Amino acid sequence: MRRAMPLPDTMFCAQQIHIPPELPDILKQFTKAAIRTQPADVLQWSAGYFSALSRGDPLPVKDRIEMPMATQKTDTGLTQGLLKVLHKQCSHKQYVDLADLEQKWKNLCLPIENFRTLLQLDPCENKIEWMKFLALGCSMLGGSLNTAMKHLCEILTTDPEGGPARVPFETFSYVYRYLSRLDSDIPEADTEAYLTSLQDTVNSRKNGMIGLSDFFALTRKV
Amino acid sequence: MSIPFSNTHYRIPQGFGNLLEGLTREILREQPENIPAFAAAYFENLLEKREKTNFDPAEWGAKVDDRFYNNHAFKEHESHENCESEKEKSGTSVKEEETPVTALESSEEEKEKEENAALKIQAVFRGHLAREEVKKIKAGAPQEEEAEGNE
Repeated sequence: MRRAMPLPDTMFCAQQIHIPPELPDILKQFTKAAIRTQPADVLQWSAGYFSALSRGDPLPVKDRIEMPMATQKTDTGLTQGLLKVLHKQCSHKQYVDLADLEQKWKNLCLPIENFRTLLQLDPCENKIEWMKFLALGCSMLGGSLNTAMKHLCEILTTDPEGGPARVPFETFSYVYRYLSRLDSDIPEADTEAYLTSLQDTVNSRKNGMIGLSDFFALTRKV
Repeated sequence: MSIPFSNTHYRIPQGFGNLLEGLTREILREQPENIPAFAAAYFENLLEKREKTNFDPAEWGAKVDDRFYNNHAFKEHESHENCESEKEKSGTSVKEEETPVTALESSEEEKEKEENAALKIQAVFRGHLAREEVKKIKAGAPQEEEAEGNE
């Protein structure tokens, strides 16, 4: 009887509300992503999340929760986890549009001044090679070139977390050369000598991969 | 998914609940075909609003949440009194606007404030009316159904 009546304009009870079948899952995934990512600015991040979702782009979501959340006030806001999210969103293209990148940066609640500072290290127009931006980001995370390379390996590797964090030596040397060239303190001869010594280790292994233990422990001994 | 240990690190971001609630409400109200696109537009709109008016629903939600944890927030009686006086003010301002020729002394900014306050008051009052109505209907519903069943 009730169903035969035209739907009244006023809502009287919960049963009158039609819940789209896909809504619960969307909300659930959205919530899980928010808890995992812990965005500093929830509103900004939410806008980015749904804009990516509606376009079918990779989502601005961390794979897992990152611990050093408490120190966020003291550092630049950029973390390895956030850089990894950016990598997930951008790495499918060799070059990324700067405006697009800036929006993604903003949606991760990172201060835009830091984005500009980062680009000042290697000024470019309109677009940047993703690998270069990632390299610059890594150098922002860690003090020394070596820590930056460690971050890079951990982001790029397909090894499980806590594993050897191997990356192709070709990529490694490309980024290493790029970063050391930006740092005028490092003579080119030193860079090349260092890379050659690493090349020998890699060659003996035949798969062309370099892992954390190949270069990170090495410098600690020195 | 099970959470193996304590949930100390799994915190729902501040104010997230409020955003989620607002989004859900709007989706249910509008019944959009494409929910992700609708949600993207919804948040984009809120962001724009925040840039203009500095009102962040997440921040506001976080503050509301905070009240439950920090009881001393309740000690401020000011807000209540402010509400009252604003109600009066908005009442007069509405009248003023209806008579177009008189010189208005309140500045643009104040007007906007009053406008917002009036909107809020009206919204709350309408909500109150609606809730009352629902209460009545809920109380009346069983009898009504019986009556219909008899017909």
